[in-house]
Amino acid sequence: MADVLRRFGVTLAVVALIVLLAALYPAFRSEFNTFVLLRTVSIFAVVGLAQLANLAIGEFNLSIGTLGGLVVVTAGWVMEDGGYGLAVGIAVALGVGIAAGLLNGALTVVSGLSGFVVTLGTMSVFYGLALAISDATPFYDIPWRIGDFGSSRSGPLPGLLVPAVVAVICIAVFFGRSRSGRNVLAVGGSTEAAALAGISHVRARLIAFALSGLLVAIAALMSMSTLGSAQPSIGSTWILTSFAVPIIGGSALNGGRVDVPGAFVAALLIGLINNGIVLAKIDPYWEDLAIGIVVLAAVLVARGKGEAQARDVRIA
Amino acid sequence: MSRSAVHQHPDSQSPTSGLHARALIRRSLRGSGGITAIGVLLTVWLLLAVDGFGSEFNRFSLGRTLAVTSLVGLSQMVVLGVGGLNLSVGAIGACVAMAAGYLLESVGLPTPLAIAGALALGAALGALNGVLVLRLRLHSFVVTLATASVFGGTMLVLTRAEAFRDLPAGVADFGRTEPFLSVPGILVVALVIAGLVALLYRRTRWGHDMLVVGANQRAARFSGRPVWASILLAHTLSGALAATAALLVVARVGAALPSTGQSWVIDSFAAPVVGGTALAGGRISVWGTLVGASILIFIRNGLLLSDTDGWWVPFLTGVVLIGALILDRWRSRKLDGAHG
Repeated sequence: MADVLRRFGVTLAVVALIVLLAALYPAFRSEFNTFVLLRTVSIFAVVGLAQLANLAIGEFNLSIGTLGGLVVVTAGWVMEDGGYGLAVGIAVALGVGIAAGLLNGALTVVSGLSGFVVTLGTMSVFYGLALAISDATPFYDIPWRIGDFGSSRSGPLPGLLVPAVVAVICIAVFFGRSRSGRNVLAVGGSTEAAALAGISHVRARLIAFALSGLLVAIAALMSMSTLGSAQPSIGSTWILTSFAVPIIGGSALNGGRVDVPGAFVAALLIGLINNGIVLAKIDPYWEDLAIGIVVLAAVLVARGKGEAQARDVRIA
Repeated sequence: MSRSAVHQHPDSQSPTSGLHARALIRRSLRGSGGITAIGVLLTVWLLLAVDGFGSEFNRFSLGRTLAVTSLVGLSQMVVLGVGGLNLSVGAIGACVAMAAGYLLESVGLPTPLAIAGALALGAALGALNGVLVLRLRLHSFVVTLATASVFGGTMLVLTRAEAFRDLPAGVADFGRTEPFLSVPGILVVALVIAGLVALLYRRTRWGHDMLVVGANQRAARFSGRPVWASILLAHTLSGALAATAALLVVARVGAALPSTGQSWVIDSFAAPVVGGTALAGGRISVWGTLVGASILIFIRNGLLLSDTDGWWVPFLTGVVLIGALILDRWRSRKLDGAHG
């Protein structure tokens, strides 16, 4: 029983919540609601993957939210003030994400400090830079095609599901099949053992952090396409989501083990909680409370696996 | 590793030989002496270079901000000392501020009782963090990440984010008092509390135990230290200190706002860490935390007074934090090397 709960608990919760919401609220079954739900889930999933890429190597990334803001305002600035097209805007956004991730990674390598404190600092630095570029005002004059993509759908399926599913598959293949991905997990599991096996922790670290930055950039662009504008505050609520998705999804907090499909299911669960609160017309304030409790429950269930969990996370 | 960590903390009163104790004191002075010197130089430079930095009005407003940031920093420092952390300092602050507002305005309790109730709530929320960390055997990062949203969410559900603005006049009056030389009463309260925290670490078994546990939990357990009680005490104290910070904010603003504590997280780490508190546990400095808070606030104030763009404030906060950590790491490596 406990084992079933551990392995399929989140999936069961998702199914139960779908049945419950479908039975209680006819509006839940509408095509438009499914579209809105899946659009939110798509963004949550990629935000969660950004944290997952860092957890894989045993490091936290607190800078995900403010980096999202920096990414979109840089893209907005290039497109609105610079007059460049969408392709350049996207390329710049992805470039900023990767560069910022590499900066985080390089700082941890050079200083020997944990990702936790380094990104606590860069969180503030990225926020400052986003303010500098945007003057705290959104860029509204961005190519309309990006907004079109954000609201595009085929039946109940949003266009945004495409980048999310592609990201999930690529990250799953990266960690499951590629040599680099396995090296990242090896270093995350035990830096010493990986070093004995001849794996460079510097390279693995830079890869994990850069990948996290790239995923932040993708999530930020997706979010920008649903808003139709480049807002510096775009990632201000991402921090809890970014940890909740991989934790609920069954990834280890201290590195070495990730569950990519699990992360997607967890994003679905958080999206459903979010959707259910809207449909039931409950105070939106319940959402934070509910997600906090689900996170605690998830870590508790995961801890039952008897693995070295959560206790030896690296903070200093 | 554990040895250097225990021996480095400046407030230890471990029963060592006189020679050793003198070396410890010398080293601890060197530890916070550097940052104190930097703080003094910065202050002198700001007084000379920035118009209005030393004005009576500015000193008063700086003092009121410093009081809050110092307590927020101490609130994080006590859990860092025991080898944990607390991401819920801001959420506890918001709960306490709103509870104080509710008790004063809706219930109509006399101010001392309302303060006692609000402080008790802060300590209880901190204790809850401690119990969860200990009972669930989880790292405080996960526990307080989750409780931050649980505490904040519960507060919002209960109050519907509506501020309490009709507090007794005495509250705001206290926020404006200045007993002497444009030193605000709020700052006096914060300094007295900081003094008590310093005494706790310097003079009591409890304080020393918390640092031993933070330096090496397993060794502390084997040597019979009360590991459980120390961790619980640190988290409870953290909640109580966050609560005092929140109450000072209520006095300063003259109202209880649900947004209290929203921006505390970075400062809560930056103030102690800039002041030499180790993130890994076992080494704290109350004085350093006050100096760290002053440095952060003075830099910000200097930037605002000299009309720099707003983005410099978060940008430099992050740079100062990372810079201080890199310096600290470099320094402790040197110390380890010298005594290794």
